[in-house]
Amino acid sequence: MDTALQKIMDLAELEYRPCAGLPFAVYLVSREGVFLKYNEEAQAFFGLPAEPDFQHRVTDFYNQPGDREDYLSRLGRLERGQWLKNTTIDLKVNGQMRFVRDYTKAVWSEDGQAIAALLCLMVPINKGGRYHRLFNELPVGIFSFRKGSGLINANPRFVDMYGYDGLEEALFKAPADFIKYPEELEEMERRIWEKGSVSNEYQEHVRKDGSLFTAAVSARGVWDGDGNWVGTEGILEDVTMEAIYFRLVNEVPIGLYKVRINEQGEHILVHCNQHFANNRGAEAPEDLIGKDLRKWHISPQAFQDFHEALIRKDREGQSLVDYILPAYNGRGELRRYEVHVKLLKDSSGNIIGRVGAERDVTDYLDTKQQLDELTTDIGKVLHSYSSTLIHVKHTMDAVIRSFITKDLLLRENGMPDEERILGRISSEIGVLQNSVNNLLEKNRENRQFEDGVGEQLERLISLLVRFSSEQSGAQKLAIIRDGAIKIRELINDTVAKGNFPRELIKEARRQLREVLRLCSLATLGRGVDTVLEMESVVNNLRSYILTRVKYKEEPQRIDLYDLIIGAVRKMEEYAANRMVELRTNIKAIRNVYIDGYEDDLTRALLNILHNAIKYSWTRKGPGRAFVMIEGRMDADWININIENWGVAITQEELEKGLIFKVGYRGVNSSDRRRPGTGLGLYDALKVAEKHKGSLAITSNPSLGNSREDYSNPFITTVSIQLPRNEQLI
Amino acid sequence: MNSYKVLWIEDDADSDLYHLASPVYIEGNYHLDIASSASEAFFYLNERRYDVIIVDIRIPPGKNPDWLSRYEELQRNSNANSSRLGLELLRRIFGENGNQPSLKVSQNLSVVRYGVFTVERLEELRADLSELNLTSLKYKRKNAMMPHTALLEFIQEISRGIPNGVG
Repeated sequence: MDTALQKIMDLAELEYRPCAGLPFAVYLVSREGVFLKYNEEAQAFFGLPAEPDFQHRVTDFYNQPGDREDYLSRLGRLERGQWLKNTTIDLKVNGQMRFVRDYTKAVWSEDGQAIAALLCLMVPINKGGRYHRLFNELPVGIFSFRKGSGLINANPRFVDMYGYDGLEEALFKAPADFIKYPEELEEMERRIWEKGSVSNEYQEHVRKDGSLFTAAVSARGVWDGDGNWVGTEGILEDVTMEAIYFRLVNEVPIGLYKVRINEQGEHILVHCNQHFANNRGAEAPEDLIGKDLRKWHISPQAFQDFHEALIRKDREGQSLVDYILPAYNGRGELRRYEVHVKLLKDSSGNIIGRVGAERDVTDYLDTKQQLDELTTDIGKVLHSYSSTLIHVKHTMDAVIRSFITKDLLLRENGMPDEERILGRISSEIGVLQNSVNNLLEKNRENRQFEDGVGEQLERLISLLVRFSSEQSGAQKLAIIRDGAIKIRELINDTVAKGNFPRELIKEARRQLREVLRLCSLATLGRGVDTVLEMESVVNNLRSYILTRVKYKEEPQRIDLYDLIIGAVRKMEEYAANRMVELRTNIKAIRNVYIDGYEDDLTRALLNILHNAIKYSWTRKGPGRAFVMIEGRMDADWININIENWGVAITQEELEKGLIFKVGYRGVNSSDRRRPGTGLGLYDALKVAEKHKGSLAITSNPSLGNSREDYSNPFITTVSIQLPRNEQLI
Repeated sequence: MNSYKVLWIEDDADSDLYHLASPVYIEGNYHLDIASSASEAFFYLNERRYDVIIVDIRIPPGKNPDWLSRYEELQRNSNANSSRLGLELLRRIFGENGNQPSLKVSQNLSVVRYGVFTVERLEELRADLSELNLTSLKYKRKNAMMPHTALLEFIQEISRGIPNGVG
């Protein structure tokens, strides 16, 4: 004999001997199941040789070999010396099923680290006994109803499900006492009558306390010898949670599925919900279940990539999430699915399948791609607009230079000084008036004008005189210009036909030329102002679209002082054109750095400065309008205030936050020339919030005027507050 | 020939549309008043009787507190960013729901003397104009390509439709 086996037998001898004489089958087996010792009853039961030959194994008799592993595992968890009792084992002996109730004790190795052998006592049980055990132990309710008597038998689980204290309490109750809806009972009875049985019917059942649960019922009719239906027997399970999950699985708006890998390596869909079926172009889950999902990938390589990604994630202890999977649906259309998948493995760690959730994101991704392309296109278009505007400005600058004579009429920034130009126009019109009056006087002498021309000339020159003394405005320039052109036409026509002194005509023409030159200068100046405004708007819009929609800007360490100075420099030309001075008082935030998004902050500042300049009123008396940019800080916050004097923002607009709405135009903004995109303040607010800061606006009367009196200027202050210590990098 | 008195209600008359008024002045047959807000228009309408009135639909309220509060009220009730005060002015001229017009100077209520010169499409305005029985007034849509004589042409078109000329 094997010394190891001998050793085990020596260890177990003391345990075995007292039991061997019992009137049951008693046997000793090694951990591997080799019969080491047995009594007569065991010998007879198993059909073993008179003396152990150490070849026979008890495992050969197990109907389910896997049961023994489970058995050993349970034994290992018991305390030393304890019996594992009352285990029912199904054995196959001589081709017949034998059912035994087993009692086993572990025999431990000398070092106590492992089970060396098992001492087993076995009591055969008959079918009825086995089923009786099943009846009492099965985790399903078993019932039997008789017509006229109601419930005549039920197992403990049935009684427990309905919350009764014992079978006696439930006995003789009618089926209608257990089933909530009479129509469900009627339907079940109808089906039993027609087909003899029902299987897995979901019904709402009522407990003793009136609460409900969902039961899955399988039942058959009981018939007497005359073919009369006398009763119903069956089983039921409480599937309330299952019903809830079933509803959840089918109602949740996402595809859920499970795949098992079979022995041929096919990835078979074993379960899916309705959404998955719909996603994959099928009418119902049944149309997909059983199919090999690998065939729906766009290529074997694509499937390989997906599976490898899944395995990689699994090795990291994670599921694969947010994976975009291109695959064909049941209609052969190529779609893209966002999948979240987890591998399924058996107890040995082998991959046996996967479970996952997916949604069809084809349309979303298409839209995203279109948006991406659109923003790229818009970015390019806006860039070219910006270039065009610069080209236009340079062209206008060139034309302005060609109109400028030694009398200059320019501001410090080289742009036409409209006020001085209009003053000059006024003078020229006065002189022109004299010339025209001289012509009219000559005409009264020799009547060389055609009918009505004289009256027209008088009317037009009066128009010019009238408008030359009116307030500045683009209309005024247009009327003077068009009027001068008309006068010139009339004079040219008349000269061609008539006989006027040459010097008189020459003088009138010179004055008209000068008026037109001056009008053109002033109009061009306004045009340049418009171009600068549009260039600023286009650049900010481009920046907004690219940074908010297309690119994700990375945070960086920002010198706020430099940022503000940069923004101010960019706005200088625009401000100068508007005769607004930009003043800064930001020494207090020198050498202050924050984590932030440079493009976003620059754009926000440019928008706020642009508004401040645009809505500034020219101050009366000496000194120009100015916008003040101030920077301050404390331990936690940096405050940047931008203040201007001019157009008011109403209290309601501020309190309700209207001024921050996209596309909103202020009530008082219409007297400004160019309204802009309506994005500026909205964007600036979002930028401040992105930096975990804030943006606030106040607008208060400046000259003692009331809040409702918008005819006098208001002091409007935009305050940006940024945290000093927010770490974004 | 007498001059037609024309009121043009337009807030962009001195900015984007600054070039439109000039031909009207130069042509000489029209006395043109320009109102750049509802307040200003209301002031003119209470001062003078006009032969032709051209209205932009979307105009700012201006400084008159009544118009300002009406503007804010309409904004609260509407999803539109700015309200159609041009229509409000027409309601004051013509009266609404059987009410009498509420102006100190009674304006000529013949629809042929009115024109709408706006960026909105006519379809967008039909319902409101129908309410005021003004569906037959002349309409012209503003656009970037219109010539600088567009306003003059529109006034001339309306004038031609006035029977017996100026009254």
